Amino acid sequence: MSDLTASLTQPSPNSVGRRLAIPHAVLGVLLFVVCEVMFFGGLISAYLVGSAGQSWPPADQPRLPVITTLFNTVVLLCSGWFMYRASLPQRNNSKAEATSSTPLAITIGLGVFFVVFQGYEWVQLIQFGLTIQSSTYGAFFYLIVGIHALHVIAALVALLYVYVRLKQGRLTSGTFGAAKIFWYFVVGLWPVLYILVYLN
Amino acid sequence: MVAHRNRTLTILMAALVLMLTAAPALACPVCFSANKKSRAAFIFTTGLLSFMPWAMIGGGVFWYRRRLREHDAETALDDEVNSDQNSDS
Repeated sequence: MSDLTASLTQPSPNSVGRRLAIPHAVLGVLLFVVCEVMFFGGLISAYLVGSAGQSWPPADQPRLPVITTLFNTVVLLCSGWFMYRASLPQRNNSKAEATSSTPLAITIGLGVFFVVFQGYEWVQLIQFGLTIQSSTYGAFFYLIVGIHALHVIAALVALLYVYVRLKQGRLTSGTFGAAKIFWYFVVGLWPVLYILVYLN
Repeated sequence: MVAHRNRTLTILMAALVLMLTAAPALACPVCFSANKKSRAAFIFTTGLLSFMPWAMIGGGVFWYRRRLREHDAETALDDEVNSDQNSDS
C-alpha cells in the first residue's frame, strides 16, 4: 500500500468509534505554530527596532546574496506546492486520484536542497567576514535565518517520518496533517524573512 | 484622635512630596530620546505584537467553527450510509 489516499483513509488508532473533528496531532502542532509565530514576531520586532536607528546594512559589512537566495526562496515555495500536491488525494478522498509518495519525496528533496544551499551561503558569508560577532547586522542575520533553518531541519525530520510511515502503510491523517501544517509554516515564513532581512 | 489626624497628615505630606519630586523615568531609549525612524519602528512592532495574538485567536475560532460544521456534515453522511446499509441487510 504505497499510495497516500489508501494509507490515509485508515482509521486513526486514537479514534474511539467516531472520527475526531481535529486530530490531536494537528491541534498540538497548531498550538505550537501559534507560539512560533509569536516567537518569530518578537525576533522580527527586535530586528526592525535595532535596524531603524542606524545606516542599514552597515557600510563595512558584506552584502547578502539577494539573487541567489531568491532562487532558494523559489525552491522552498516549490516544495510547499509539492506538499499541497501530496495532500490533494486526502482532500479529494478519491482513490482514482491517488497520488504515490512522489510529491512527498520531492518536497523533502527540495527542503534538503534549501538547507544545503543556505549552508553553502553561510560558509561564503563567513569567509567574507560576516560573522555573528562582527556586528549587530551579522548577529541578527545568523539568529533569524539560523533559527528558521533549524525549523526547516525539524520539519524535514517530521516529513521523513511521515514518508517512512507512508511506505509502511501506517500513516494516519493526523500525523500527515500535523507535518503538513508545520511545513507550510516554515515555507510561508521564509518569504517574510527574506524580504525583511535580505531586501531591507 | 489627634494621633490619627497627625498620621493622616504625614501620609498626605509624604505623597505630596513624592508627587512634586518625581521625574519621568527615561528608561526606554526608543520612547523618548531616539530618532523618528526608531520611534516609528517601535510603534509599528508594538502594534504588530499586540495585534498578532488576536488575529491568530480570531482565525483559530473561525477555522474551528468551520471545521466543526464540516465534521457534523461528514458524521451525518456517515450515519445515513450506515443506517441504509443496516436496513438493506
